Amino acid sequence: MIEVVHVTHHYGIRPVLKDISLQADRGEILALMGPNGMGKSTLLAVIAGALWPVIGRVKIDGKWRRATPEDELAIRRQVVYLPAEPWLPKDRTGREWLLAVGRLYSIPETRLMDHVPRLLSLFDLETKGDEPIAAYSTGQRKKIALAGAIVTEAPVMLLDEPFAGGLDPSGILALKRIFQKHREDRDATVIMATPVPELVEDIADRIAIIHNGELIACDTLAGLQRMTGKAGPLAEVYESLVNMGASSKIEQYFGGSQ
Amino acid sequence: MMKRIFISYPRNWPFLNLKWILICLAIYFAFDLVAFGIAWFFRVPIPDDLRQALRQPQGWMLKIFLVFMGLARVVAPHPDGKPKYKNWLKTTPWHPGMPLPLGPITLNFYDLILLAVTGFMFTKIGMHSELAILLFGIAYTIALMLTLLSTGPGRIVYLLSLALLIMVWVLPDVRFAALILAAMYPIEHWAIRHSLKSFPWEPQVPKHAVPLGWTFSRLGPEPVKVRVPFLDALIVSLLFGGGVYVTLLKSTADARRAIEPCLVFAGFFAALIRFGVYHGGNSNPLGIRARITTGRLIIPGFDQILVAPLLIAALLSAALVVGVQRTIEPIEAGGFAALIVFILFGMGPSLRRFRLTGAYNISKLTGRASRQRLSA
Repeated sequence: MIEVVHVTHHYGIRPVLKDISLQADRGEILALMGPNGMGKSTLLAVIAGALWPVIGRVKIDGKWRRATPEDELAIRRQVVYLPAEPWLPKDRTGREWLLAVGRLYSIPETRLMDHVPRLLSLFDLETKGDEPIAAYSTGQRKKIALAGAIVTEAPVMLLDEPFAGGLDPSGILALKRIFQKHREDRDATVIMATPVPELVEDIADRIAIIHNGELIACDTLAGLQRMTGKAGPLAEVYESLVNMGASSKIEQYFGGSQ
Repeated sequence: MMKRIFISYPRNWPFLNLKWILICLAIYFAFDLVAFGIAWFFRVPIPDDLRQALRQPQGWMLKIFLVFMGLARVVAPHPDGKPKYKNWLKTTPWHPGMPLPLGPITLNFYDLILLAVTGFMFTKIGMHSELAILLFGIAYTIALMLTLLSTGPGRIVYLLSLALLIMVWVLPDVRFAALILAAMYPIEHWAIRHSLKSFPWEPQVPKHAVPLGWTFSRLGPEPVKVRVPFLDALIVSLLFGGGVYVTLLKSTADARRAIEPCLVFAGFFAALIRFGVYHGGNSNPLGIRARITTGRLIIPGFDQILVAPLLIAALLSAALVVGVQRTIEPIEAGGFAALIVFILFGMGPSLRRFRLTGAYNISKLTGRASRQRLSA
């Protein structure tokens, strides 16, 4: 279980997160949503341990992050973090990199040898898997980075915009299926940040909406619908919650051209 | 006999073939030939001044040769530092107790012959025969210490360093110094045999040939490998302090005046390096402006890494002031140097603890820094 307790963070003097508290249970897929620049990636980085919150703490599996070396190492064995723009070794093949990441997480060699080809096949990278990553397209790089997170078999996956970065429909479908399978079979917790409601509507157990650094809602789709009084899809509920005024802006734009 | 010597000695060392040895001997005895030629040509005994002048280069040749041989006796046959040789050796039935294919690392009868011959040559040019043991022994010991640091047993290096310090301390008594070196050999012999038992010296934490990137190298489950246990920090600082003491004790007043400021600036530099190592790849969770604005002037979880460098800087500044006012005795300088080194390596937090529990933000590494391998 992941607990975020009263987290406040700012870059310099600019506040990015304001007193955020939320929790994700074991076997839950939690989507962090919000407009661009509102603090989703920052919150994910705080949970991942890449950022130290100015105020507040994060607890994973009953252990506070960065409390003691032993607890922190125990957490790190359980967690994998994939930033929105992951770094990849361009001069190595995708297969080599996946094997190295798997070994880092002490995955038994036989399981790794079985899993890596299946992952490459799932993401249509069987041939590319043996070429240097420099030769990959943007979408293929995203796929290999996602495969790198999956190969760790970590029970907690923290993914920043996993569906962005040129991922094709088959990749998106594969990824959604993997998340669901991990949740069902391995009780894995997935927290992902995304600004696009349509991509997470059918897989997220709960949706946390962050706006201007504040957590304005965190509930199931049904719960959010009740809260807003909207019965439509997540995009409509989301629109009403963050009050972006996208529809009126669009109308205003086309109205201005006439 | 010569054949046995060549078999016993490492064969991949350029100096150890007959051509090179003959060239060296020819150059060495050319000086004697010059002296005899002058004496014969002018029908006069060789003048003492000329004899002395010709002995100088001969002495240097012998000294360089012995240092070279001392280093070669460890470096040339040792599998550590030669990946191809080491990997090949792993595939063979070789095991500790068997002779190493490129020759032994431990000394043997032929080394004794080498030392006896060169010792005799030293006496012929009016120098101490014990110089042969001294030069060969120092080079051999230093080369061995460097390999023991990577192959283990590492802590024996402290004992050898202490013995070397005592040896320098007894100088210029060459005989006593040579005796100390000779007395060190049984320890070195044991250390070599012990280290070969743990061949192929695989690292405890596996090295990753593939760079993993900042997320995995900084947030992955492998602990930071740089660790300096308290005991090691204490011993290293005492040895360093001892080294400074002996160096200053054996130096002239002019040399001391030159060495002391260098040591102080080296201390400042070391403090800066320590700060850089801790700070590298991390950033302050709150900048100066944000600290003033928020009133959180001190963030203990991050600012703890400043304590040791600032303490060192303060102590060194005080030492500079004292140094201007009066002469600093070697014993004071040694003790002070030991204190600085102890703060440098022994004062908390350890790098591992800070990386795992410190209050910092991980800088999103780009370019060269992000390509760092986990094993680096």
